[in-house]
Amino acid sequence: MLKTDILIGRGRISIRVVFVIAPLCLMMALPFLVQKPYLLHVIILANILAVFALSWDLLAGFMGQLNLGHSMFFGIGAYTIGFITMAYRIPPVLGLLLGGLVSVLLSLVVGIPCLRLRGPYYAIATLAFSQVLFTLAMGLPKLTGSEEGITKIPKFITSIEGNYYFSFFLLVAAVIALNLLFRSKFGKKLISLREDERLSEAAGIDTSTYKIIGAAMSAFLAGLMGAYNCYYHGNVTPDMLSISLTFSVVAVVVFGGVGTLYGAIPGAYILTFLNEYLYFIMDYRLLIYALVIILILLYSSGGLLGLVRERLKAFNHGNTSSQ
Amino acid sequence: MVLQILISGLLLGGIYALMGLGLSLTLGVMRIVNLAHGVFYALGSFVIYSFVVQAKVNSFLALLFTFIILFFLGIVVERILLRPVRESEMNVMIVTFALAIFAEQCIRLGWGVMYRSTPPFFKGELKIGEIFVDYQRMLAFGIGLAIIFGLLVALKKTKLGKATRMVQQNYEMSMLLGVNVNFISMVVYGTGVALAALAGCLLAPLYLIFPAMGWTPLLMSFAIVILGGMGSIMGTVIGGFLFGLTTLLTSYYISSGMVNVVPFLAMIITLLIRPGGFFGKEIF
Repeated sequence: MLKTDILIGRGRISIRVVFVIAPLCLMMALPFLVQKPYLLHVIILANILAVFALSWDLLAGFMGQLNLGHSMFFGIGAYTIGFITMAYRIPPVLGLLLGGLVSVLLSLVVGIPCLRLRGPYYAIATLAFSQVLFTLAMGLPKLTGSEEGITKIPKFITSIEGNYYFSFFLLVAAVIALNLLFRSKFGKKLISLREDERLSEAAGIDTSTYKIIGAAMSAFLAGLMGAYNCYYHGNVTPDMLSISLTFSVVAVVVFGGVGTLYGAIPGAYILTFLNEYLYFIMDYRLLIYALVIILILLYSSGGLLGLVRERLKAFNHGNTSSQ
Repeated sequence: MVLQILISGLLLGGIYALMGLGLSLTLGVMRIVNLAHGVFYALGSFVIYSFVVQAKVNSFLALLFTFIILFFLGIVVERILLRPVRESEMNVMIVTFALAIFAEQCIRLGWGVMYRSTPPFFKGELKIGEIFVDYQRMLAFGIGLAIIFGLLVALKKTKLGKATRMVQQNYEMSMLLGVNVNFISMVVYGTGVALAALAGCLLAPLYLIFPAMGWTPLLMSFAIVILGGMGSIMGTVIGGFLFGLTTLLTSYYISSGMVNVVPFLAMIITLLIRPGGFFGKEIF
């Protein structure tokens, strides 16, 4: 939530115009400006990763609950679509919602025992359960197709431009929904859990219920994106349940700035573009992410957006004091 | 056959107890949730592999070297990575998680992704009637128990051990009374890492080793610690034996791929019924 304006002389430019509206307009016009399907494909991937990362940040950044198996919510949404489309033809919108709902169920199974407790239990249980699901996806070849996964899932938007706009729609919708959430009273209660759990409990907030609901919302968003990802690629693989996917999401959010809401978006874009255009770093990808996460947490826990905010403050301070 | 499984399970349980104890120590004393515990187990296996297979060092000497190297590595990690973020449990978890991935990738680059195996310390097996027990398992069990016993005595009797228990009981008060908490933290983390590595060394000849091998032991250790109750040594040891048995039973009767599932189920059931663990709160 950026509240600062950029001050230039006597005028001021709203930061929203510079960082939100202008880039968005540019992005909307992009398919008409350039004819590069691969670029659009990379941007779609970045959008999917960004929304998925937002859903992780909702839990970790705003509610202070660390989830180390977040890929399972993404993966379960994708596998839901995979299983259903093998047997039935359902409308894709229903499919997306169903992916989200199955993911919510999963989050209740893990969340109800673990989120009642304070401490590291939720982080450990999510890590463990994502490993269990990964093992199952690899170990039941008849059901899940093992490493190959489930393939030939019918796409619901066939053109790349269509997918491009739809992924932007999801991103913008998610950002607006989260913005509204954290401005509401309910959202403020969720944030109070991060600030001081005991105090908010003393203030009459039923902390375990709020944590479970918050986790369910995060899982819904992740499951929905998993389902969309599955429709977009037309297949599901166990990679969508893997630790490295969870880790990429952690890297995206820590790099962008934990608990900043917008930070995940530049984070996701930078990581996806590095991934897709610098092939030679492929083998060192996770190594670099890990190093960056550690350095950011040791030296500036605000991430990229924290840095931008600091620079802006310094810039505005310099401008106003010179007048 | 059942007897065979029970005996092998108990012997394996000794090593699991060792592994769980390392985690229990860092968690109980310094409140460090060490998600890199599993990767140090893997690192232990790979370092002893290099000593024994590549450098042709005697197995026991290699065990000692690995223990010492990983102990100092743990100290360095605590000093450089964990001390700056120790105040925030979440940052500790993210840093150790990143460290686990980092070290796994380093292993991948340094040793390659192949599956490897190390030769046993002793070849051969003991045969009693229908039951076969190979010497390696018995030796691993013996060393494991000896280390656990040594650690308990050190915690009860030595000055450093008493200071450690004091930090565990009351962090601020022990600082006020002049205990060097930072030093204790380094030693405790180093010991935890070394215990994980030792378990990795002792089990290396029995299983295949590969870079991603650390995650199952990590979750197993957490399950042991949660089942036994955080900070309870007796609980950790009992939990270790229980999981040793269940691991072998599941891999024999169901499938070795399902070994992951057991600790998870145990963890969830424990958290539902008795979140504090089943074996009380007997502090170190």
